[in-house]
Amino acid sequence: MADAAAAGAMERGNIIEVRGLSKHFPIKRGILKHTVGWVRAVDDVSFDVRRGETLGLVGESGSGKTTVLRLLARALEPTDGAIRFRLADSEVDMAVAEKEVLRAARRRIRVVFQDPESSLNPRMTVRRIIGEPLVVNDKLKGEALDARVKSLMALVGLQPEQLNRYPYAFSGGQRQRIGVARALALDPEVLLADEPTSALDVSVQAQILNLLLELQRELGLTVIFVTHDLSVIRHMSDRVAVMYLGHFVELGDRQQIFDKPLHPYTEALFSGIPQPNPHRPLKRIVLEGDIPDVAQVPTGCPFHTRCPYKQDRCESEPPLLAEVGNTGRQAACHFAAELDLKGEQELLS
Amino acid sequence: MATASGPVLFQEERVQSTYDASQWRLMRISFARHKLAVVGAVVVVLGYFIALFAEFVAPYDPGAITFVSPARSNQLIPPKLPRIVHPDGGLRWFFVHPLVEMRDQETLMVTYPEDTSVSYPIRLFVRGAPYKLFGFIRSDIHLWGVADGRAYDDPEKVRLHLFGTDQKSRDVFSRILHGTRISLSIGLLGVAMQFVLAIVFGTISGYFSGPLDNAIQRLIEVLTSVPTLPLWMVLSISIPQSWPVIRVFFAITIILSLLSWPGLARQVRGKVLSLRETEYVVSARLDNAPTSRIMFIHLIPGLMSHLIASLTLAIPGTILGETSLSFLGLGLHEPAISWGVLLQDAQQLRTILFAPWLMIPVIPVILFILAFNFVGDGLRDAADPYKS
Ligand SMILES: Nc1ncnc2c1ncn2[C@@H]1O[C@H](COP(=O)(O)OP(=O)(O)O)[C@@H](O)[C@H]1O
Ligand code: SF4
Ligand SMILES: [Mg+2]
Repeated sequence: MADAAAAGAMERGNIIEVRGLSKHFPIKRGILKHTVGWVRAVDDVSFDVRRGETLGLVGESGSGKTTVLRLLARALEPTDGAIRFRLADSEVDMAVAEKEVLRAARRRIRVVFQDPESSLNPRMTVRRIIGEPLVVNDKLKGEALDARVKSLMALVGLQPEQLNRYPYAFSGGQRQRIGVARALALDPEVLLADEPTSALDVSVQAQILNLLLELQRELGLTVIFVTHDLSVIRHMSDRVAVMYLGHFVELGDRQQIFDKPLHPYTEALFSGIPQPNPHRPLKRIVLEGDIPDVAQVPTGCPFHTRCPYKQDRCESEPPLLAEVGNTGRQAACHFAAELDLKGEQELLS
Repeated sequence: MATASGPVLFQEERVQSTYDASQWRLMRISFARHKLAVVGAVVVVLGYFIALFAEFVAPYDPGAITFVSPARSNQLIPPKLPRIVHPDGGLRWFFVHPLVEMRDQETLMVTYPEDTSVSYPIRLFVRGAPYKLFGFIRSDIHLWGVADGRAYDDPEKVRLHLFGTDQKSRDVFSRILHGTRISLSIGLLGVAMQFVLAIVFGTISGYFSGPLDNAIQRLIEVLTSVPTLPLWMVLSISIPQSWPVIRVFFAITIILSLLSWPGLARQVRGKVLSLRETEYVVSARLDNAPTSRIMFIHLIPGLMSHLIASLTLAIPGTILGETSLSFLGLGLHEPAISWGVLLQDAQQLRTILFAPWLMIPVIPVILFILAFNFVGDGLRDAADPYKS
């Protein structure tokens, strides 16, 4: 299924092209709140997203995944860069879009939030929560609104007759379904999901993930999916992007990356996967040193302080995310072509 | 369809009706568990009922003068309770004996012994001084009174003064009931003004950070750093003595509110700051909801329950403010009737020694301040029904 989707996606070209995207947060100190430094949460990132694919964004906590997603939705103002969306009926640069253009684009680019506990207004009934984008954008009301809300509820597997209930009367999994229904209300093309299952019980995580997969196929959505959980990425994505300290370090087909990563950080990430089989322990690649402070990203390759393959060049010369050979895969490592890194299976054996 | 996995059915045994319960219903349930708050709420409701129907609940016109001895009008009659034990020995329904004035020839002290040869019963819904309820409902029925068969304006009329009379021989009990009107409504009106100011400045300050927020914060700091009582005094001295009661009333309310809103505004701002970053507000923004909708639909309702609790806790301050200013002679004056105005009579040590009952108006002040505090505490605990 992933192959067919990926092939289809390739034909239809890119829906998002991100170029030189940065977000630097000021660090303020003292009573006068003067800026003493910058957190480079996202630093000069460029990547493409193909129409109809599911792109999984993975990386340790603090690597900037949420910030990238929020920038794409323009929930945050970027410091620099361009975010071109090639939507069905228009082309928008979300980094600079204003007023009406932004309004129109936001109908097509929708967010599923991490924690349904805080993303649903506790004072509103499901009818009003799912109906809000419809009321605001399409001025729907009365019967038409109810009918649309009910069909969205059915679409995400909720019982439409429960539309007068408040969020607290639903379980965590059901609340996330409400969040998905709201995101789908305006017929989006792109769904941005930030760890949509990390706040849920393990038992319902799979249900929500499957729901997203089914909806993506059924509605032809492009999904960008953030997680720090590799098993979720393996289950969900067509392609995978790996983030480290505000940089994209590797981007490529999911299967190829899991089989043979091209960046030392990806390999290290795989060796930290929870054990599916306790009798075949992974050969862990133990990283030396702590994750550097995002406020002081190392010079050269951001990973050089912990990389087991580091050479002198890595300390001064920053590697760019570029295609490795003609594999169609991208990595940001000076030695990506030479290193023979181990995939998930090899690490298991 | 996507329903393949099916919805997770969840706690089906939970009572169906609470699924649809709104926040206000959950708050009511949680408030009802707070015993003192419920008692406070009963007192408060009773207080405002009295304020509305003071003419009916009070037995006498607050300006009516009692003549025990027609020769003198400044008679300080001490409090008296109705009796149930008749001089014959038997128990009767509540009744009173008329008073006579006696002057001790040596000390010149005036006393008011009862003439036990006559007795008149207390009756409910008796005819008395005519009044116009809310200014247009004419009536002369009072909740209770002494049935002595005389007209209300007959100088011989027998009266029962539960809390005694003041220096002008007016019934203190009736005056306290009528004082409820100004004293309790100044609390409500003052708090309503603070509410508007706090919401406007607090939400603006919290939602739009930057120079506007900074300006409002500095203003609040200045206002909270001036000591209130002296400033109240300065401002109230500037109210012309010639103003009619109603205008003075509004002026005093404004003065009290102008200095009290900053604390509330600061609470509102803090709450808005935290709500602004919640995902449901971000989500509404990404839904293209206009700023006004985010403020009125998402932010303000989110802080309303807390704000109402804080406002309830702010009412006693305004009531005390009016009482203090009027007591000091800087607030309302006669012919206005408020608890503070009544307490002006208790300013001199001499009168307190001779007529300690003139201090009785302190009791409703304390009672209602406690009641509002209990209610406010209960509301504050109930404000977050989802927390439990
Ligand atoms: N609003 C903000 N202000 C300051 N720093 C922020 C803000 N949001 C995120 N950051 C910082 O940016 C970095 C990346 O954060 P985030 O994108 O949330 O990472 P992730 O989602 O991968 O865990 C972190 O170091 C975080 O502290
Ligand atoms: S560039 Fe050097 S330090 Fe960076 S990942 Fe490659 S080998 Fe490691
Ligand atoms: Mg995150």
